[in-house]
Amino acid sequence: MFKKLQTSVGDILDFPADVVGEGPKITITGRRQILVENYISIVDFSEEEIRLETAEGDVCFGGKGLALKVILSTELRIEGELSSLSFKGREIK
Amino acid sequence: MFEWLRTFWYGRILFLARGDQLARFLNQVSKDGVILYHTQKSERGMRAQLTLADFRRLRHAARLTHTRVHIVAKYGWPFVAARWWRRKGLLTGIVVIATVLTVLSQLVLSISVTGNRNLMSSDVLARAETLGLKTWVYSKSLDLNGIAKTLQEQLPDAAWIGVERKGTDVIIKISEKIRPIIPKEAGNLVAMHAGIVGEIMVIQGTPQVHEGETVRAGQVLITQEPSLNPPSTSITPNSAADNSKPAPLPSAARGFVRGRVWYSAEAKVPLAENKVEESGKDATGWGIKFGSRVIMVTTPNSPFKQARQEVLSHSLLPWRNWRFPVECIRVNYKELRTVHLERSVAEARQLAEQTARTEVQKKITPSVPIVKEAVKILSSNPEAERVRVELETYEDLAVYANP
Repeated sequence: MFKKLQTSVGDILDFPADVVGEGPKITITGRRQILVENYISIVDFSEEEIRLETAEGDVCFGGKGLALKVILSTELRIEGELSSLSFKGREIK
Repeated sequence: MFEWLRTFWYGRILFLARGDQLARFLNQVSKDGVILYHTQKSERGMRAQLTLADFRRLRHAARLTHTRVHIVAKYGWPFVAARWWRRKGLLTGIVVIATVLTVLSQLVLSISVTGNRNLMSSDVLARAETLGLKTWVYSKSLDLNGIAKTLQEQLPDAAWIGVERKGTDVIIKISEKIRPIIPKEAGNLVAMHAGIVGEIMVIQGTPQVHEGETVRAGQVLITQEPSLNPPSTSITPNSAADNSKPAPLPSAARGFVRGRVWYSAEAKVPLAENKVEESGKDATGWGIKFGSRVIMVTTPNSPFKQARQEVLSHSLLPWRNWRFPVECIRVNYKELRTVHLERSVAEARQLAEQTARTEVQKKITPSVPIVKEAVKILSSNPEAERVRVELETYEDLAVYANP
């Protein structure tokens, strides 16, 4: 109920989606730098795949030589050769 | 740059974490407020970096997730400082050496005299010492210009004296007056130039000229005190060498004779001439010199038809009598061009005057005041301008004759 109200108010007032929603904000610069904001936790990580838990489901980054450059509680910087990005788990209603 | 400095200042620890719940370990660490950098998984476990201050805070997450943490490397100023702190003797030695070198570099450690031919270096050094210029004194407290001025006043045979400090060395540069060579007048004061005597002051000896008299170069101005010994026992170099107890030599004449002296120089400048001058374009070539062999790496030949070459050699600092055999050389090629110059009479006259003035200035001892100046145009030739510059000075004429 509250989430629906929040979304409606956000739409009326023309707020950006990252302010209104709870989902992650993912910024990809080229193919080598990824900034993930508003994630919940790290599910799994290796040099080939990094999986993060977010409010919108799990985000999966695939690639080569992936490394977590900086880990903060709400922000994550990933570097490496990115080849794929996919969401798993929940469906958008 | 600043990020690197910050990292170095706070110190970094590179660690390897091993366990089955590494993702949970990361989540717990970030929940605890610890920032991890460069986290990467490998076959041996997980490698990551964190600041020195955060390292102890890993313990909680490691215990919860049964993760073992091993330090791989330590990097940064806190570790360097700790290492140095353990070597207090070495640290003290470095500080002492730096202090000693700093203090010593502020002192005068050596004094040398250059440019003197007839003046004795030991005499100059002794006079300088009485003025405060001696070894082991604080060099910044010395008034080098004042010392140079006083030395010049004390040494009449010196036309110019300059005192220069180069690090811990002090060099007394002397330019001596050119003295006429008259063997029989040794000990007498003679005229250095032809001129008219303006004032005469005798400290010791007998004056041979009077004010207003015209003297020629080499003429005796003040003679020394006559010897008390009979002429038969007068001292000659040979007899002095033979005699074990030579009679005292008569004291040399002392005094000042100031007068007016004239100098002149002529210069001729044609109204039209072909002159070779630099065009302003230049090129640079680099090469290596090994002994007498030169290998040019860039620009082996001059790119200009007509050019002047300047070769600059850059060698490593020599150590004692050893020099590094390979030198780096730089060749500057400056383009030259032939220019046909057409001058007006006024321009040619001005240039001739300038050239003549430069020439005549070379003949005058520096710091001698110029009393009068005259420029005479001698030209009657339609193709060139001839100008003579005549300068009148008022200077000390008396110098000791060279034996």
